[in-house]
Amino acid sequence: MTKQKKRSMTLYEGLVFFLLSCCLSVYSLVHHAQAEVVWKQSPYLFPLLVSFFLLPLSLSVIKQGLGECGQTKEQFQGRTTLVMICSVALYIVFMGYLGFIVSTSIFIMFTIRYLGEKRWVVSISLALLFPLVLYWLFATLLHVMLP
Amino acid sequence: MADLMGILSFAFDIKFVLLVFAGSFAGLFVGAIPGLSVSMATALLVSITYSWQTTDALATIMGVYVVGVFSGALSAILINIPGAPSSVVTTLDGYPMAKRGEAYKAMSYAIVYSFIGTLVGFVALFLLAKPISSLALKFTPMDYFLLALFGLATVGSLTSKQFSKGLISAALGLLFSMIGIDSVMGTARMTFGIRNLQAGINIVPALVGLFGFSEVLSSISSSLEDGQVSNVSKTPISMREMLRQGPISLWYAAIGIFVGALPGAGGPVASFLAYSQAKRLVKNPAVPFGEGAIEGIVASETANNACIGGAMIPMLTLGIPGDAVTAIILSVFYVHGLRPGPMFIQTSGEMFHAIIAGGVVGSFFLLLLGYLAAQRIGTVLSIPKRVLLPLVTVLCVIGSFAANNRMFDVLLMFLFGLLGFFMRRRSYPVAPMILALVLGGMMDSNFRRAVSLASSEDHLLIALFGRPITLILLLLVLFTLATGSNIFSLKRNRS
Repeated sequence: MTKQKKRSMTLYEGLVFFLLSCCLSVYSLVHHAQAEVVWKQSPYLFPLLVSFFLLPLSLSVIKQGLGECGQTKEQFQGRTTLVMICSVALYIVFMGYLGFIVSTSIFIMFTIRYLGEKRWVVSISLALLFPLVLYWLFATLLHVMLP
Repeated sequence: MADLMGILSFAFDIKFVLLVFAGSFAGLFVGAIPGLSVSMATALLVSITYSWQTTDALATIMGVYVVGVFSGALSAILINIPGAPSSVVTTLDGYPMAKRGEAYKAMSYAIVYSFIGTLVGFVALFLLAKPISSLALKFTPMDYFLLALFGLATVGSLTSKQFSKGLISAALGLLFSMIGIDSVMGTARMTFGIRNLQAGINIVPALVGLFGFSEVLSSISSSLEDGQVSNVSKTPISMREMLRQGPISLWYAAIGIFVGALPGAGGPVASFLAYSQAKRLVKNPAVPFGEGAIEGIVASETANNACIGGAMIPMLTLGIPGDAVTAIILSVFYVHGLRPGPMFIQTSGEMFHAIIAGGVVGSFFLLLLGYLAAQRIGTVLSIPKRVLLPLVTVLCVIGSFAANNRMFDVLLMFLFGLLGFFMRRRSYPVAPMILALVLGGMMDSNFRRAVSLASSEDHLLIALFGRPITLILLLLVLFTLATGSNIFSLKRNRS
């Protein structure tokens, strides 16, 4: 990660929080006006307070982003992480269609192999046994109706 | 006396003891395996124990908490990777001892002094909880608001490298806590027409996402390499030699209890402070500190386990959690319809007894499981992350679903997991967010109640802040906010 990149990320973070603070203030003021209640009872009093709290903090992050320097190289497995995030998203989506046991077996098999497990016996046995044991545990013992 | 009898009735209840054992057994692995954490396990347990009796849920969670905090030391000693943040200091002397072939001795000291630390912490909880509750009965709504704000400010300052990032995390948590139907006026806030959000953000998927799924992603994104496990060979240690550190360990335990009671400080700060004290107090250790001094392990392990009892004190008496795990335990009470606070011990004495009994029984299981596992834990530590992390992900999904039997909670868990992952990557601590999410509703209602009450008085500011307790709390909040950056620079200098 380069010096320039790091600085700009912190700066962008600060800008996002600044925008969030402004949006929250506007949201609270507009909705309070529509609610027609006094401030002391308004449900938008506390959100407004939080937006005021967030404002100087966002400015502090912006200031820090502007003045940040130094080079840090961090280990980051970007591709592996992205594949993991996508596979979890697909797992959640397909759980509704395929059911818990099938979708979990496919998910475990794929991710274990993708993350580098070479032994087929371990991959297959975990992919089959783990969902079955969990299903039995949750459905029978904890009375949770899984998809 | 009645309290003691209540605690003993739980401690001799077979079902209760078995549940503590189950939790302790799980805690041993969760704490020891790097990549899994006690907060992650307790967050998952909240979802699993959702439909259980509160005392059963507490028994299991206390077992995980007590043994999980200790077992972080096992991986710290054997592979130089702390299983839990509070065991970071243990690596300094534990791993050099393991390299010298004294892993068993290092683990034995960690076991015995974690046990002593836990017991002293729970004795302090037993003795101090009632007096603090009596004091808290005098609190007004503004005092509660300021106390929660003080908690968030200290958590923000102690859990982050940058004070502003810790506070931003807390502010985001407050923002999330406001989503849903407002408890005072019954108005829907920030739901943006999404019906599932009307009941608010469910704490369970948020917890599982922020502490579970985000930790899985962080582990994957950093490295999938596993540590080299040191050999463990049993060497006899005399009881006399073992207990030589006993008297000084009480001082480390006192440090742990005090730091644990401060919102947000927790085990890592306690073990570090105790270690600094050990270096100051023990002038001539047999081996220098940092090269395998047994005194270093004693200080670190006694203090971080004494923190558990300390962290329970503000949670039970004031409703303000001392660390991430107690914030999760607070959510256990919330999901079971209980509200910890000054009246909690009087109105729900059974829960108070269950927590202390769970902690004490858990500490004996720590001793038992610790010694049984000491020689075999190497096998567990060699379970590769590539196998473990997908299984934990499945547990996160099923755990968030189980809370309400709805897929929307799984989606929430996924989104909070991504948020937590990005926060960790960008050095925003997740603990202040979860603390704010738990405390936000209470802060909102107390703040509005305080303003409403004060508005009928002649002098608004005097009505709001005129009482001595309120003034002290206000000064504490202002002091923490003003010196936040200094607190950090002190911490950094110590590191």
